[in-house]
This record gives sequence, structure tokens and C-alpha cells, in this order.
Amino acid sequence: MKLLDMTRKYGNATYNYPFEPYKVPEGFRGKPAYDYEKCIGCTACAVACPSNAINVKLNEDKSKLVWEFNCARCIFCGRCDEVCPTNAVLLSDEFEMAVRFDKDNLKERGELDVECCQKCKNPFTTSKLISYDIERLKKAGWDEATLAEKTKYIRTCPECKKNIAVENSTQYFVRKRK
Amino acid sequence: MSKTYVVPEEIASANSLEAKLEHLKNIKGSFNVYRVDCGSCNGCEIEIFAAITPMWDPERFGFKLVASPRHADILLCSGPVTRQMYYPLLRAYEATPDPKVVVAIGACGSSGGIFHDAYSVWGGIDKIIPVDVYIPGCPPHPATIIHGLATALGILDQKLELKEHKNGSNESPEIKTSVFNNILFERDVLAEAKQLMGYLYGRKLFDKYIKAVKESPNIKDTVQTKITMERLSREEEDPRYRECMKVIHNNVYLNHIKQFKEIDIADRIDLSD
Amino acid sequence: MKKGDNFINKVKEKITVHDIERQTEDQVTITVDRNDLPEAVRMLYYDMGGWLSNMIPNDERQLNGNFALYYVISMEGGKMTPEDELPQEQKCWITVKTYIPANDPTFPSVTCKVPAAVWYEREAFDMFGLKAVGLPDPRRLVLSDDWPEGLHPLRKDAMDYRHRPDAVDHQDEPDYKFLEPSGSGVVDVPLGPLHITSDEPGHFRLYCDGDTIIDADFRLFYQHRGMEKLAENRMNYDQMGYLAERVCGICGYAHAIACIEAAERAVGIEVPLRAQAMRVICLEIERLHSHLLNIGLACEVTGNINAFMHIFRIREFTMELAQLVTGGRKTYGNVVMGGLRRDMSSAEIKKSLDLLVTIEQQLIEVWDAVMDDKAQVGRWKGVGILDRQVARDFSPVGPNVRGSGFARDSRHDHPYDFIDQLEFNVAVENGCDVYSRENVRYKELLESISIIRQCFEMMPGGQTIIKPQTMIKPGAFAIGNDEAPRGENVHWIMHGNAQKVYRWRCRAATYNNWSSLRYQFRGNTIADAALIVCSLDPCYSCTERVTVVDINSQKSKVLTHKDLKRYSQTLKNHPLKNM
Repeated sequence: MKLLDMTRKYGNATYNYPFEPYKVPEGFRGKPAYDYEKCIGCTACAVACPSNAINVKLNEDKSKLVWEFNCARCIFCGRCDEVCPTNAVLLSDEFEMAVRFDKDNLKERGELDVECCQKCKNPFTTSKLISYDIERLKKAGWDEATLAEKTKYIRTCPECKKNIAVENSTQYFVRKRK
Repeated sequence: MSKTYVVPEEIASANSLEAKLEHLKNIKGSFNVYRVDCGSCNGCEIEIFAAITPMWDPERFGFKLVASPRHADILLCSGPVTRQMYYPLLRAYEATPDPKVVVAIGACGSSGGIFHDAYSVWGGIDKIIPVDVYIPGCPPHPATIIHGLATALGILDQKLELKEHKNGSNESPEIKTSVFNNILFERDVLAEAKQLMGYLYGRKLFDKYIKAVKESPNIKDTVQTKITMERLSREEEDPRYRECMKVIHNNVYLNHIKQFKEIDIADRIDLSD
Repeated sequence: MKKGDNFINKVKEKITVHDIERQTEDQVTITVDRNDLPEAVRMLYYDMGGWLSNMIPNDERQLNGNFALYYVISMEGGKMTPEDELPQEQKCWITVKTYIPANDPTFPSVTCKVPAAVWYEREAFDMFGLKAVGLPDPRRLVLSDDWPEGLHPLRKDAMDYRHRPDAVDHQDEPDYKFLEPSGSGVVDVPLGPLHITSDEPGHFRLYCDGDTIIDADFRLFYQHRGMEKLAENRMNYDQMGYLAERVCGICGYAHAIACIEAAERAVGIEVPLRAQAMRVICLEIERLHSHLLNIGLACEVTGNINAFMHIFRIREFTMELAQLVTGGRKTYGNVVMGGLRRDMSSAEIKKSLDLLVTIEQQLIEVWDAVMDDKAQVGRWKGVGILDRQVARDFSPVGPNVRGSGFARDSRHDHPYDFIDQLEFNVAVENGCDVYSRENVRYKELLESISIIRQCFEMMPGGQTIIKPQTMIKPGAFAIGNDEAPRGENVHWIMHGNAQKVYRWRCRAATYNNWSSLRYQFRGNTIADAALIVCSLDPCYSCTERVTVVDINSQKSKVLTHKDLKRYSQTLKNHPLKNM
């Protein structure tokens, strides 16, 4: 039997895992690793996630924005990694993910402070996202006056921005009619 | 919430945590596994299959696939539980002798995965029957499966636990100073790098390029920057990065320089060498 | 004269064609009256050498007040003889479209004239409530047996995509009505829905006389997960590729590519050459591991565990190859509209080329050893004959049809991506049996290795993905095709608003292969049933529980999968011996 000769030729083929670590190649798509320090709560990952494994929601009293990752639902596509502007979510080499009895062990949460709109006082984004925006604007080479103007704009929620824009344009129409 | 299976009293009482742990202790060296496919895409099945072949060989720990749930210690369930597989799953569950250990495998088995809210599935094994061990992955790597089974038996330790982060600072994460004192340049380089080499290698390309461009004696001098870039890309080992660094120079750098001065054709790097 | 016009002119001679709409260079849609539909499809299918590739029912009531049906016919020649093939420049897709008024959701069945349409028309009723008048087999196909009558999930106004009707108590699971052959003394052999060896659930009934199968019927769609509705409601285009990849765990990537290419073609997006080459590479890697899996299983169900283990050892190298270039063994996760989102570095390409050498060497070695085994070859030869006329009638695809002497290969007939720049042969065998199909697979493995090598060598530079921009045109639709390991996958996408599809129809290769399986079973023994199903390489092969009813003694016995498998492997101790 040629097959038996082959067995002798190739000998032991088994990987020694788990007695020795198994080395994955570069670029392996393992468990997404979350860096809380870098996360600004922009929700890009939650929007991109095809399986809704990442959810970002306000907590009950609307004081914190909660980033939650459920590894049980993750499909390891790396969309979160791709869209994250600050590299807070990166796919790691981690593949030993099984848990016993308690499914909550698959979860990871991060709480971020919420910022309220200057105008309507409703929460609309995180404080960290705003400091990130301001920091970036500073590095974009704007002068002080423009920077102040833009900072004010950043601290207003999209709803109020819309209302202001509508008000401005209708004012213009009214004036024109006169 | 739709009406689904309720575990009968006698099965529930025979499957207390103590009974299961005792059972797991007893079967440590040899355990029989029955596989139930509850409408998975097959990926998990194929990886289980790959896991039982010579390269991974879990039979070293006493793993054995059996042909009937009546012979099984462990039920290995995959899939988001489609409506049509709901009944066979319950038949298999009730046929397995008590105490039984249920392992949910894959993203679908653990929580419904990408299908979690579709009309034709129930959204995970644990929506129907009690699950003891979860092996995430889509599909799980054979090494993950082996780790999962070993974890189930208490041979290996579980690596993950619930992580909660609170009370972080509201300071912005560090933003690197721009080489042009305008981060729009870096933004454009990153966008181009991602278009060239995708998100993963694109970021590496970005780092390589920015490192190279910083070495130019005068970044606004196109001649010097071109010479630096040509030298450094020649030193780069991987031909693919070499090509892409030049493309970024031509497409992004020169485009950005335009706002300061006229550029001519000699500023471009020839891609052919 | 553009591609397909000659066929349309011939149709026009007999039938009024209301509208001709061209989607791409080789995709044309013609609109005919509801009553002319069967004849139009028949003419294209039998008179002009077409094959039925897909049929899409669509709820267009929001767009034009009607339901619509699209019969997609691949014009490539009948291929019954080597000369009977269309010249390469004439090959195209012709879609026959017809409107069905919302107040009268019926249409004349095409199945009576073109049997290949049978599953599509059964599904049209399940999902849309469109009734094919005259359909010989109107039973439920897709939806679960406990699904309420009259609720058709894909109608836009039927329900929320998350709606889950209550399950019935599991003791009272509803029964499915199987077709039973008439006549006394027929043995009823159910297989499934759960079984041990591999893959997915499905339920078979084999009707036997003694040991010989005289007919068969099956209930599949145990895995209907409602993806098409899910995609219409929850997914945007960036996410759809990942959903499509999870249609199937073995040939998922082929689905992702077909789906995304359909979306790209509908709006005419040009994909960068480098991305095209990498798409082809990943598709061929998928073929490598899938064919190795199938050949391994074909050895395993006939008891040749030794060969099975060797083949799976080699298969691990192909998995490593996939892991190297995509970061995942099974789900490659790199498809997006407009290209790929992950590049391959030159270091990876170099390592891949080394791996390919190992795979090729060991593959040739193991195949040589398997062919050397007379017992193994004997179990494959003459089993599961797919008659050529049956094949012509039911439009099967992939190695299944190529093993019966038809050179049908999507890469050859409708080249996609980088394929037309490569050199390869279409593997064809004429034995019509399991042996031929496995031989086709082996030849394709070698071709795939050569294709991957050519791609790596010719790897173009430049971008891997085009600039993101809004490019969706609501209402535009097109076909996307590729050759999955099991045959041609044909997806159809109509764009909708808000970055979502209006309708996505995913037709997997195996869908076309099932209808002819019944004929392949006939005349074989129970022992070969598992092998025949396996040689189709369906995304599953299913033999858990078998009830055997002997016609002559009128007794019935339930066999476990184990019994059947043991008998398949050893051919000793016939399970019906003691009846």
C-alpha cells in the first residue's frame, strides 16, 4: 500500500498545540483588542460592524456613553479595526477565547463621559471626542480666531446646528421678500 | 419574545452545576462528542473536521466523535438555530444522557452571529437550551476549538474575563505633529496608503512613508525630497512597499506641494525601476 | 450588433418583446407577456443552447405596482456534442422578465417546458406567494414546516425582518409530505436530518426494492436563515460582503465575490487589476481546500480512512495558505465594493509560492496512491450515473456536470475578473459516475495551483481599492457570477435607496444540482447513497437515521447513521438481513 509508505515518509504531522504555543502569521485576524485610553467614542466601529457585536449606547441616566463589545457575536472581519480613527480597536493574535458557564466573560465595556450641547443642553457626544477634534484643529494650522469659532461650532449638537442653519436661511428669505 | 422550549423539570434537576462539574471530572481522559448542526453555514463543521485530523489531533486528550446523541457526554452545537432545525436539536438534547454538557461553537452558536435578528433563526443555542461553554470565532480556528474543549474539561484555563473600563481621562489621545504643520497632509497620505494596500498594510505603508519623508533635509524642497525618497525606497526590502511609497510621493506629496510652488515632471519618481 | 441580439431577434419572430434593456455588455433583459413566458424561456433554453442559471421573483409593487419574475438564462450552447457550443464572442446572459399584477399573483409554470425551473418556482410561492399554475410539484421548499400558511417573508409589506412566529411544541413537529412512488413493496429509507460525518442537515427518503434504490425524495432548507430579507433591511453595501461570505462555510468567498460583483456591475464599477488578481487567487485557494475536502470525504465514506487522513493533512497546507494571505482560514473578509480591503505583501507571495510547491508534490503523490488502490476505484466506478439528457434538462453545474462530459465552467463561459488573461483548461470526464467527478476535481486542483501561480507571477501593481464615492443607482440591477468549487454561483442584485439593496437573490451552485440527484440515486444500492450525495459535493451529505421499509415483507426498521455508514464502508452484514 502506497498510502502506508507515505505515512512512514512524512512521520508525525501533528502540531504540538496546546503544549507549545501556536504561532499565527502576521496579519492574523484574532480577537479585537480594545484600548480604552485611545477610544474617543465616535461610534464608527458600531456603525460598521456587520454583526452588531459592537454597540455604543447611552447608559440609563444618560451620563455616560457605553462602548460594549460582545465577543460571542464577533465575526472577526476587522471592520472596526479598519474604520477606527485612533487605532483604539485593533485585531490581535488572540485566539484562545472559550469561556465556561458565564457568557458575560466574553464582553468588554468602556464608559466615556458625555458632553451636552451648549445650546439645548442635551447629551450628543463624548467629551473626549470634542477634545480630540479641538486637538486636531490645532494641528491643522488654523489661527486663534478661526479656532475659537470652530470650537464653538463643535460644541453644538447636530440638531441645533440644523436649526441654526434653517433659521439663518429663512431669515435671508424674509429679508429678500421685504 | 416568541414562545420556545422550556427545559422540563427532570432534565433541569439532573443537570445542576454540581452534577456537571462532577461529570466533567470523571470524563477528563475520554469524552464522547456529538455534533449538532443547527443551521450553521458549515464553516464551524469544517473547522471541527479540520481539528480532528492529524495536524491537530484532539484524540490525544480522549476526544471522540460519536454517531448518536445517546452515546454523548458533550453536545457540540453550531449554528443560529434555524426554525427547521429547532426540532432535531431538541430531539438530540433530550436523547443525550444526563448530566450533559452543551458547547456552543462559533459566533452563530454563541449568540446568533451575523444572523442574530433574522426571522428564520432563533438567534443562538442558548436561546433554546442551557449552554455551558462558548467557543467564539467565525469560524473558530482549530486551535480555538481544542482550547475550548480543553477549557470545558478544565484541562486548560479560560483566558477571557469580563472587562470594564471606567473613569478614563477626557484628554484627547496624542496626535502626532504634522510634517507640514497641517494634518491634512497626513490624512491624505493615509487615505492613499489604504487605497493602495488596504487597511492593514496601508497603515504600515503610512508609517514607512512618513518616516522616510521626515528624513528629507528640507521637506518643501522637491528635489531633495525626491532624492531621499528614492534612496529610502531602494533600501526597502519588500518590492510592494517600494512601489507604493513612490506612488504616494507622486500622487499625494506633489499634489500637496502644489500650494507652495509649481511642480514639473522631473519631480515625479519613475515607477518602472 | 451587440452580444445577445441574434437570440433576441429569434425570440421576436414568435413572441412580442416589449422592452429590451442592457445591463452590461453581455447582460440583456427582455420583457415579455406573462403568458408568453414559458415559451420564451423554452426557446432560449432548448432551441438556442441556454441553461437556466437563476430565477428571481421580485416585489416591485413600490416601483411599478407589480411583482416581477426574471428568468436568467446563460447562453453558452447545448454542449451535448463538442461542436454544440457557441463561439466565445456570442456567449452572454439573457434575462426574460415578466410582470405579474399585484391583484392576481399567478403565472404559467415554466417547469412543464423546462424542468430546471422546478425549485425556483416552488421558492417563488414560499417567499412571495406567486403561484405557478401547472407546476407539477407545488410543495413547500424553503420555509420551515411550522411557518404559518400565507405569510410570504420576502414581500415588502409582509412583516418586519425580525418577526418570529411561535414554534409549536417540539413533540408535535409538523410532518413534511414526501413524494412516494406508487406500487406495492416499496422500501422507504429516510436519511437525516442530523448525521455525524460532516456538513449540514437535510432529510432524505430513499425508496428501495431490496437493496436497490428505485426513487428518492428529499427535504432540504434546514438551514434557511433569511439572509435575503436580512440584507434588504439591516445591511449596507459595506456589510453585505460579510453576510454573503456566510452563505456557505466552504465556498463562502465565491458567494461574497458573486454578490459584490453583481452590485459593482449594476453601476459599472471598474475594479483595479490588482484586486481582480487577488480575488481570483482567493477563489482558487478556496477551490483547493474544498476539492481536497471532497476527495477526502469520498475516500472516507467508502472506508478508506488512511487516504482521508493524508488528504486532510495536505488540506491543512491550503488552509495555512489562506491564513497567510487573508488572515483567516475560512472567512477571508476582504471583499468590499470597488476592490479588496487587504493587500498581499511580496513576502507573503513568496511564502505562498513555497507552500504551493509542497501542496502540488504531496497531492500528486497521494492521488497516485489512491488510484493504485483497486478497491477504492472499484467503489467509485459506475456509481451515481448522471445521464446526459437529465443533465441537459436540469442545468446542473460544476464537477457534477463536467463529470458527464459537459464543458460548463463559468470561468470559461463568462470570464470574470482577471480570468481572461490566464491560461487554463476546463477539466471534463465522460464517465458520468463518481469516479469521473472525483477525477475532474483532481484535474481542477492542478489547474487551480497553476492559476494561482500565474496570478502571483503576473500580479499587477497599483491600487487595491478605488476611491470611495457614492455610486448607487436605485433600480439598477445586474448578475454577478463566478465558479465556486461546486459550480457556478449566480447572484442578482437590484440596488435600492440608502445604501441598501432592494433585492438580493443568491443562487448557490448546489441549488441547481439537487433537482437531478433523484435520478442519480435510481438503480444504485443503499450502500452507495452516501457516496452519491458526497460526490455531488453538496454543502452537506446527510445520513443519520435511515428507516428501511422492505416492500416484500412490509416491515420497517430504523437504521442509525452508524449502521448505514458501517455498511457503506464494509459492505458486510446487510442491515436488512434479519427482517
